[in-house]
Amino acid sequence: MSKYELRHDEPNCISCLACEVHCKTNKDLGPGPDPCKIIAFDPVEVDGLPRQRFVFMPCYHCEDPWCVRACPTGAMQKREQDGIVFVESSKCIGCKSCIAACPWGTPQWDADTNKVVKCDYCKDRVDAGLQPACVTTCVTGCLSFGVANEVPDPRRERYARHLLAEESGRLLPMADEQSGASEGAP
Amino acid sequence: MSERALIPSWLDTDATVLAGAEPPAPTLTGALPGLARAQPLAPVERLQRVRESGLAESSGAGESVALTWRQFLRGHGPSSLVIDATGLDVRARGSAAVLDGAPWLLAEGLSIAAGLRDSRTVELRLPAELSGHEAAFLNAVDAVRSLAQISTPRMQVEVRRDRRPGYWGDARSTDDSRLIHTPETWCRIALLFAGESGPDASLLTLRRGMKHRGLVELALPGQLHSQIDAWGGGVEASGDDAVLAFDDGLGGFLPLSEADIACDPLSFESVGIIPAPSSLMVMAEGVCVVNQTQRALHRHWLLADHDDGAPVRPLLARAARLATEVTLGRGEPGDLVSLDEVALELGAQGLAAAWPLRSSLHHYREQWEQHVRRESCPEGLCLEHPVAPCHGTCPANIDIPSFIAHLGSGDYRATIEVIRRDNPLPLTCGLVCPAPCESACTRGDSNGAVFIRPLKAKAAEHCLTDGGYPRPELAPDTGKRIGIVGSGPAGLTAAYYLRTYGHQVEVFESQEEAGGMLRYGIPAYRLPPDLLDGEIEQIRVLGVSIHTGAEIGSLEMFKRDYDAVFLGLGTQKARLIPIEGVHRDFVLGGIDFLRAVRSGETVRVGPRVVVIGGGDVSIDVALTALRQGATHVDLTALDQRRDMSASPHEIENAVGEGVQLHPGWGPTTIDADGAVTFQYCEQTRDADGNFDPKYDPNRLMTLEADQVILATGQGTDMAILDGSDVEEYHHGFIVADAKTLMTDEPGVFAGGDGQHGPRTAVEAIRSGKIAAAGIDAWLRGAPMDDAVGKPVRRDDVIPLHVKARDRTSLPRAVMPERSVEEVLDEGNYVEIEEGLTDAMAHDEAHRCLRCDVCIGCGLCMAACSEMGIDALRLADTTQNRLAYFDFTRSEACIGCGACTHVCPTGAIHFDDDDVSRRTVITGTVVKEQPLLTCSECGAPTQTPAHREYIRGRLPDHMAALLERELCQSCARERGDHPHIGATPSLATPVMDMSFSKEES
Repeated sequence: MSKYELRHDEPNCISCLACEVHCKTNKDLGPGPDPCKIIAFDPVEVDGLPRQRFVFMPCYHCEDPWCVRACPTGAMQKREQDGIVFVESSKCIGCKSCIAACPWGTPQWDADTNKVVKCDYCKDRVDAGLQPACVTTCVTGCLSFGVANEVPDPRRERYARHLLAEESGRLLPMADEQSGASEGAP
Repeated sequence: MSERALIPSWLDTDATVLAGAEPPAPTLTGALPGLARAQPLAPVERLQRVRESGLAESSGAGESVALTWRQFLRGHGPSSLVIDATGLDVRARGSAAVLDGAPWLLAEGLSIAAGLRDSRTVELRLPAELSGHEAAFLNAVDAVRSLAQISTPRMQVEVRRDRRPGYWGDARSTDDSRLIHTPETWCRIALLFAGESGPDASLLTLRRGMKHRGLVELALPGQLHSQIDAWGGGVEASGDDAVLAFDDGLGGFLPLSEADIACDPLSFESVGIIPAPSSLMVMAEGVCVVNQTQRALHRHWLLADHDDGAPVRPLLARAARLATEVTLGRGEPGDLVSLDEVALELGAQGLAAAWPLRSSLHHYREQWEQHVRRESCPEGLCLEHPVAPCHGTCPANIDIPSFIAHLGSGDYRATIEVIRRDNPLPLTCGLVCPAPCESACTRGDSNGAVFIRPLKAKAAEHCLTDGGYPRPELAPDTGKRIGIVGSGPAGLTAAYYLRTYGHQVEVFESQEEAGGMLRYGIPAYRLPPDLLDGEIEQIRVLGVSIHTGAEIGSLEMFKRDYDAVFLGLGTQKARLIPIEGVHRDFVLGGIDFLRAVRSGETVRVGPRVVVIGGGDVSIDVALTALRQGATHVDLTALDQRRDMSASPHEIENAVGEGVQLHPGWGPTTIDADGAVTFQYCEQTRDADGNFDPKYDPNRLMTLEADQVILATGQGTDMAILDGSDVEEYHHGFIVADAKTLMTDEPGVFAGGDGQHGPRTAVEAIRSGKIAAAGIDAWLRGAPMDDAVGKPVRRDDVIPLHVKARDRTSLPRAVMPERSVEEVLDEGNYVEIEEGLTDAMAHDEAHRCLRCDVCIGCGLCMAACSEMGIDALRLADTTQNRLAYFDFTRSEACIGCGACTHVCPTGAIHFDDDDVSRRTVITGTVVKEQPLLTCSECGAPTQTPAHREYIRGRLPDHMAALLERELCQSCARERGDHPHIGATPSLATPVMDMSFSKEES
């Protein structure tokens, strides 16, 4: 796995798709490829009410990636210093082997360049000390990014607050949602 | 400096093949002095001798001979000595010269090395080009045996033919059972032991771009630049930055300005080029080195195209692909970084392809960067898709691939529409054009050029019998009137296009009938008058009036009636050469003779006729003479047969009809009794290619004749120009602006033979078309369209569907011709050609390789090779492109699609339906295979072969997930649950629900 963690705090996600839009903008992509994607699931019943659920699907940056092994030209690579899996575009010849091999269908086909494009945690931004495009522009702050063990998990934190709140017999104020996100920022 | 001094004395360049049979001295010691001195030395002492000399291999990486020997000496078991006569540049003459001129030294060098490990076999690796050059060496080996009085040979000599050079830069020493050297190195070993010559020189072949060409000796310690200047005057190519290309470009490139280096292998290596080059070529400043590098890289890939090369082909392919992407203007800045990496990797692996790539990236970085930024190519070759060679070569620039595709699908009207966009006379050209397009046809490198010429006639005939050509769209009437003088191909073409631009056009012809040289200069057995009439009628019906028998006296008077004038005067006057007796009454001018015959005058010649010429007209004259009473026709030409300007097929025809051909003779006198005396012409042109005949006055020939016909040139009757401002050349042709064809007199344009001199009909058509555009632009006061006179795509026709086997092996059609008995008779002007049948034309159209669609860049082949599949094979051609000739070799295709994604034109693509995938190259299916479908949504996913390919790259536990057979979007929809087996129900919450309370 890469040394980074890109967390999605699902309960806070409103599926505004700002992450997808900014991801595409940053990578200069047309309508087709979505290096990160919000997958919406059919409503499930929560306390008698229907509720839509969203899963954020970037790349998992596997420890031993299917795509890297499947790539015949060495275009798909894992960065040694931080484990980011990325495509070196000049080596990609468009055989789509990585797309077929990835169990999550993560590598994306860019029909404009006839090459594969995928989530690389915006490594150019990360190298410049910035956050990935999706995280930077997330409207609700439900996405957080950082070195894995340095990022507090909003779910854990929220659960802890929840326990405390139950003890003191009051409900959690809404403002707590933001505190989770802001702590996630470096 | 004389040529002699440039070649070492041990190399006898005048040697004949049999030279090897004659020993240079009567005793073995005398004949092989080096061997005699080596014999007392033990193997390690011989090695020591070589090491002290510092002798290096004479080609390729120039590695130390001592190192190679040391490794060889460490080996055990049977061993053989190898003479490797292959080289990267097939035109390098070093190996051939040594095999022919120093067979004894070669045998001596081998004998010295044979003592190292008691080697019993000698292997001679010969490339196809040097076949036959082994004879002198084999003779020498036999002679050595007889001198030494050996009855049973201890050494076997094996000749391995058709060998190709290796793709390795320095792998000669990898196998320690073989000692491999070039012929030259073997000789230098012998010389070293004989103590005759130092090892500090190497043979080099000087090629194109050098003032002195041929073999020279490169002194290794000397400076390259000063040696280049010393060799007979240095480089021919201008500019300080002339480009030195080593080993035909395969060995790298160096600017002349950087050539102040020593010539030893290390110095060459340090500037990135081949350490021991075998040939040197110089290209002018401004040549596109990026393009040259790309070609070299493809050729290096082709060298590795056999079983042993499989491990290195993907890397060679990547180098070729990245370079090609850059030349096509598809490069990105990252590509140069990748190319640098590839160059390093090539070098690290010891591949020869590193030389061109490394040197070119280093010395011509700016060119590469300009290409990557898509700014400019110094030659204008790159950054845009080249047109098909036929299309670019045709003087009228007919969009040949498009019309052939229409013809192949049986759409004759569309065929004619496409042709007439550039040439209004498809039938005429289909019968008489010398077809330069066919000489350029890519397929000429395979099994014969596409027979393009008669296809035009075929479509035209169908349209004419079917009510005429499709009517072109005429622009609205402009009210301008244009007068055209002359109804030859130039005049008719100008009339046609001017009419389509909406002008009123009137054509004036002094002869009784229209057609100019088409009617009066081309015999009826090639262009029957009724067919010509039919074609001219197709121009007339557009509203062009043609006045025949109308002589124009003065241009001044004539032009007053018109807004613009076009002069398509032609060359109707025969020009006689100034020899004694040329004005005798039995001497005729060729074109006068043809015109008299075509005008219907009673002309009888013979029975013996001598025709003096060599061009197409002289052939027409000779064959016409045979039909006007001659029984014996001698045709003489100054040039040798291969240099005659008449087309080879025409010459063959003439010989077939009984014309006696005498190439290489120039006339001196014509006697009153009809005897014509000739002297032999040794050469017609000087070294610079200028006409400068040299005769042998002692070699004479006399031919008896009743008539002598001189087809030696034509001129124009310029009486019409008297009093006008239109200028004439001193050669007697009209001067006009090269771009617009306007003369010095505003509004007066000129084209055709009368302007550019006697040439072919299709060149007159070109000039008529340009003049029409020039006139139209001038009348509108607008600048002329730059595209006029350049090839323009007229249509975008989908390639014909042709079976792979047919596409590969259909041979060129043979024109059915009537037998000589049928066509050769007095007054018999039956057409010699019968024309292609519909079926033949159909097959011929299906042979077209569609070079307009497949530009032969080789990206598909490179991508396939990078995949490690190698299912695609383009062949190298003499054009600046690769080409598919064999469509039956793609069995290995796995249908991954890499080729279709790198193809810049869509020439190679997939034709998918729900269950199968066809790989199609310009209309030909080269592989069909099934297509798997998504187990959830049923969308097509990939071919089983591609899945197996991926499976082979994954360990079992990872490959197991491929069993799910999901399309990409279904795989993503599954979220983070990559289950094998049944899909989890989405009704159950997919995330931990423990937080739900807080939200409610």
